[in-house]
Amino acid sequence: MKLVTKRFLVVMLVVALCLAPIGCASEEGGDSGEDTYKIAMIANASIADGGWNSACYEGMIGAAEMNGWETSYSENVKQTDYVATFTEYANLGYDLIFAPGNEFSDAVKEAAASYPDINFIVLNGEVVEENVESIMADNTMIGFLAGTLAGLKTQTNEVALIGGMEITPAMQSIDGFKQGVAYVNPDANVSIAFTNSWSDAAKGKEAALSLIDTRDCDVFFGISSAGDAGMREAISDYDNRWTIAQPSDLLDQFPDIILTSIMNDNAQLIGASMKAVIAGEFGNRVFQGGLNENVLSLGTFGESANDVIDEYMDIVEGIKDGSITFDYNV
Amino acid sequence: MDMFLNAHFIGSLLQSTLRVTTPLLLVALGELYGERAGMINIGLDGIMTLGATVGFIVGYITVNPLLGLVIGAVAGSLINLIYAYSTITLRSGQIINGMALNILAPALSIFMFRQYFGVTTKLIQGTVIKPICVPVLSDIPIAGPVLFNQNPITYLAFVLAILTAIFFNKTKPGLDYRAVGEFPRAAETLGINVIRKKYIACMICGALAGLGGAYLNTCYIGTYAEGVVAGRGFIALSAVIFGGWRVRGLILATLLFGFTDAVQLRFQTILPVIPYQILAMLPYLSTIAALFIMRNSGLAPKANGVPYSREGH
Repeated sequence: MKLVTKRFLVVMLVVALCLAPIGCASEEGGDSGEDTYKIAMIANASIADGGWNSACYEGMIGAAEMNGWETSYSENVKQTDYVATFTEYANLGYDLIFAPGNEFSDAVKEAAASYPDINFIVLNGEVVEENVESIMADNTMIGFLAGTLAGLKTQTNEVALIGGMEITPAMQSIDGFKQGVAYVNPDANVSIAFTNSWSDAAKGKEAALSLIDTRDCDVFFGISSAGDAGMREAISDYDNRWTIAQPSDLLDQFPDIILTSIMNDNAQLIGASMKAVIAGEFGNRVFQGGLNENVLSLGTFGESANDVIDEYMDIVEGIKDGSITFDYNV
Repeated sequence: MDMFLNAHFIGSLLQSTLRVTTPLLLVALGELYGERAGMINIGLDGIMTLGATVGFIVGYITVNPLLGLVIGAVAGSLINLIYAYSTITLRSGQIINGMALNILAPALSIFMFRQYFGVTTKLIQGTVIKPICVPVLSDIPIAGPVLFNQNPITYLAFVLAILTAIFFNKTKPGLDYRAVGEFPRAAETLGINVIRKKYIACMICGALAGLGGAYLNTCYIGTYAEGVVAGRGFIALSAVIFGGWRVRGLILATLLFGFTDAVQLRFQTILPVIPYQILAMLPYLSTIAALFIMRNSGLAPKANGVPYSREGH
């Protein structure tokens, strides 16, 4: 009895683990007519993480709606299953496979070589092939936009950035943030803390409180996904502390502390690749989108930004027309 | 450096330590109740996830985070009955059942959350139980914020720890309970219902793990993000071993973890020259170092992890 139960459990577990990546895939969208284009996204975490993967998923859905595509996704895919999952979708005849992150680069290279007729896009990637495009928002510009606003607003001359992990897009944002702060307020000091997680919201709260205790930071920029939510809760208990949100407009959640949101429209990025697929021009391209490409935009301004908004909008216009520039060091 | 070593800094550091420690201590106490009856449950992380999700959903719907905490604990207790039935009645392996909980409970949580809220890009904001701030007393330097400005659940966790220590060491039911984990056959011959004790142990373990998880989303922060537990269940599990299956050891182990975690976040801003990855290792390194120094072998309940059968082996 005991042995049988044990074996049964083991078999069930193995089956469950094998089916996991497939089981998560779910078809969305209406008719499956033959001539409808199809896009699939693969995520290595939940698509509802309220941060990076949510933004990517929303971007894909938005782009699909604009261009009349069908969508599908697999979430919580482990690194060892990347290639297998790509292959799965390639075999199913998907026109475009969306890998939301540089960490998928190697797997994309491998799968793309085996399936030359299937197109792949890597967000924040560097891979470029006949059938692979890398697309990215201008992370340095995101950081610069946040840094200039933080530098203008700060009263203690201490501003903070809370990151998740030290990955390339984060380092680009940090680089831009430091340049932005220095551009408007050379006296201000930038402190950086990492939560070492993308899902630990509580750690974001602790990080923010420690930045307040140690440096008296008053303007915060968060790029740690779920940790940002904890950070916002922490600073909302204080007077005269503010934050710049991303990647969507979050003003209505914390109207008192959010100065503005830097919105990152992944739908524009993905939509550009979809159009290239339809036009038969896909491949061999790196597409980096900023304010002028409508990939980045500013959300609603909170009332707390009233005292600096005019000066800030001049800077935003300067970035748009090219009169204000920053360096791409990372 | 002097600007940091003042009363305000130390007070807030210790306050942060207790905030980080609370969920770990609750869950570690739960595991202690389990292992004292011979039930090793490595599924704590999964149970915490379920407790966090159920606690948040209930707290959000009823706008009553306290009810969320209670229902979160009940949910943890109920899901742990699967583990209890499988390991006690069917006598299958405890480790694999714990593993199964770690896979099942988070998946169930995600399913429930998305059924209710759908797939959202914005995190949902719920209400939280605010810390109790005792007027006047909380203004005392250092001791004030640490002792008189804490979340009610933090007080509960430490009171529970003290009561647990008294229960296991000073009361007859407590000694009977421990006998189940040490030598169940002897306990049975003395008229102790071993099977029932083991079931009760699993329910307490599940309830405390569920409570620890629910604390995260009803007291600590008001938003729910999938993966909010972030491995805390495994840290609590190791705290039981590290603490030598004693309440005092458990408190010290979880406090050490909480303290080093609070310290490393502050070091990130005070000493930006040190790569944050090294600082983030600090809580884990200190745990390993302490394990080396304190040799806890021989302290484990003798029949820990062994399936019990009334008739023979």
